[in-house]
Amino acid sequence: MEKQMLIFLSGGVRSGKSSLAEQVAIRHKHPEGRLVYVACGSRTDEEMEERIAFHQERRANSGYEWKTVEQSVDISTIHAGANDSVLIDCLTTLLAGEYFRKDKPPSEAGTRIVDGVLDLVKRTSAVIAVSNELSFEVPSTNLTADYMKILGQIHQMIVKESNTAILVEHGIPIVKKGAVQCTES
Amino acid sequence: MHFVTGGSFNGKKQWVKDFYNLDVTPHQWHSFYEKEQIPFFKEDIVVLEGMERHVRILLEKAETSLEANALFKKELSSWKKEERTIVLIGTDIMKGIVPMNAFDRMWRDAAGWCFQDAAAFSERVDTIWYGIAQTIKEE
Repeated sequence: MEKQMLIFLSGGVRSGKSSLAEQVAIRHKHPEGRLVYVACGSRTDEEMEERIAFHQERRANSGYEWKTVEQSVDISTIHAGANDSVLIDCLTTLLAGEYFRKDKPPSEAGTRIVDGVLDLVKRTSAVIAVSNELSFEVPSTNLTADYMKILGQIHQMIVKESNTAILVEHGIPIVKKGAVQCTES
Repeated sequence: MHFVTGGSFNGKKQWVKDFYNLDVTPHQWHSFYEKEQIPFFKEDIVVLEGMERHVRILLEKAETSLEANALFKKELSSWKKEERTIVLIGTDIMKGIVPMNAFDRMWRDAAGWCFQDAAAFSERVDTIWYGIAQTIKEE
């Protein structure tokens, strides 16, 4: 069996994390596998449409073909093969999907996400999970605090299982765990 | 003294437990989330969890952030003289947007100053990011 690969990237809004995650995914592309982009955000309004269009355009210009999948719950059910590299963008929006779905309890949203991601890691070539830094605030409402707590737990579990964990600040990757190959091989 | 900080829900508590092997090491764990009063120290390792909460309590007693900070500095200098290992765990609440509530703004200011002093008084400072430590000071 081939080595499992899980890479975690986190950063603030507009920190360059999605762009970097795409480059990391391309670098881990299997010669016989596809690049699968999983968009977890819901198309809620015009602003979100613009953000989506911005990301779509960049992927279209990346020189590689991306298969885009929209999935905001049940991440492990996406179609991905053993050679595919899967970019999950992002855990925050995935948590919103799992947290507010009507048919399953929000208290288990974190476990559902971590289990789903680890299932994908087992059956694909590489998983790149993107998320948002949002844990330096004065604690606010109970709902926000609960959401942050679950997101923090997800991050801790994903970082623990990851081969590489990267914090992106102002477009600069800070490697917290593992290593990243920078030069052309 | 050892100061451990980082954002909320980043695994600071678990990291301290692992680092000091607290499952098998005698220690005293005090959480300011559960009890406001500073305990009487009795073990060789004393962990004080929730320093930002402690700062909030000091602020409730004092009039201003600066006064709360002065009270905290007195505590730090007495802890510094202790022969035992004192571990301070504090959540970094200083990087969010400005709180709407005036008391929360004062709390945030006080916490920022107090954490600077906690770092200055400590021989070792670690920041924790999802369970991974970065040592930013070691004497």
